[in-house]
Amino acid sequence: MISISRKAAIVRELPTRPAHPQWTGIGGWGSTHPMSPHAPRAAKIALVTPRWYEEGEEPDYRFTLANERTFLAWLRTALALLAGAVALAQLVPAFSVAGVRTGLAVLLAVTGTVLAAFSYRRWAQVQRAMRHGRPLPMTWLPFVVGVVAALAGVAVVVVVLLHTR
Amino acid sequence: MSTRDPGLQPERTALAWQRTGLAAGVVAVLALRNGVLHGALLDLVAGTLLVVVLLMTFILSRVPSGTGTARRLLLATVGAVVLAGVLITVQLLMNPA
Repeated sequence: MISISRKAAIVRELPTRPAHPQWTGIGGWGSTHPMSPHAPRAAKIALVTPRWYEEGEEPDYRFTLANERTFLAWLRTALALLAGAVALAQLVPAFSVAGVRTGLAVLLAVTGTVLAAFSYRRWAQVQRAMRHGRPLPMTWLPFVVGVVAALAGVAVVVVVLLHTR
Repeated sequence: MSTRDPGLQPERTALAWQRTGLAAGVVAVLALRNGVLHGALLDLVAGTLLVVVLLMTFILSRVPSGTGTARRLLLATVGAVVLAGVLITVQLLMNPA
C-alpha cells in the first residue's frame, strides 16, 4: 500500500480501465465517465462533480457495484422505516397511552429520512476510500438503526403490557 | 463481450435497484392511501414522488456499467426519498392520531 498525499493523487488523465460499453442502463444514462457518450463536457464536470470523484484510481468495478448495492440496501432500510411510520399511523388502532402511536411513527419517519440522506454520504465516503486504496471509514449507521429499532420494540412491549392489564 | 463476470455483479446490482423500487412502491401505496382516504395533501405528493422513483428504477434498471450508476442518479433517488420522508413526517405532525 502506497500512501500518496491527497493532492498528488489527483489524476487528470483518462482512467486506464475503460468502461464496458456493452453494459449500458443505469450506468450509461447520465454517466460522467469520459468514455461514455453521455458524458457532459469537461467544464461542466468541473463545476458540478466533486473533486474526489476524479481523484485516485477507478476501483475494480466489482467493488464499485458492491458499494452501490450497499447504498441501495441502506436506502431500502430507510424506506422500510418510512413504510412502518405510515402504516403505524394509519392501520394500527390508537394505543391506550395518548400520543405514543404518533410519537413512534414520527420517530420512525425521522430516522428513515435521515438514514436516506446518510446512505448517499456513506456511499461517497466508501467510494472515495476505495479510489485511494484506504481502509473503509467506520460508520455509526448500524448503531443508530439498532437503537431506534430497540426503542420501538420497548415502546411496543410497554403498550402491550398496559393493554393486557 | 466474451468475458462474463462469474459473480454476476452487474445483474445483482440491477436486481438491487428493482428491490429498492419495490420498497419505494410499498411506501407510495401507503402514503397515497392516506392521501386519498383522509385528504392528506402532503402524503399525496410524497406518494407521487415515490411512484416516480419506482418507475425510474424499473425503466432505467438495466445491467449497470463498469463505473457503476452515475453519481447524479444516486443523488436524485436519495433526494426524492428524503423529500418524501420530510413530507410524511410533516403530515404526521399535522394530523397527530
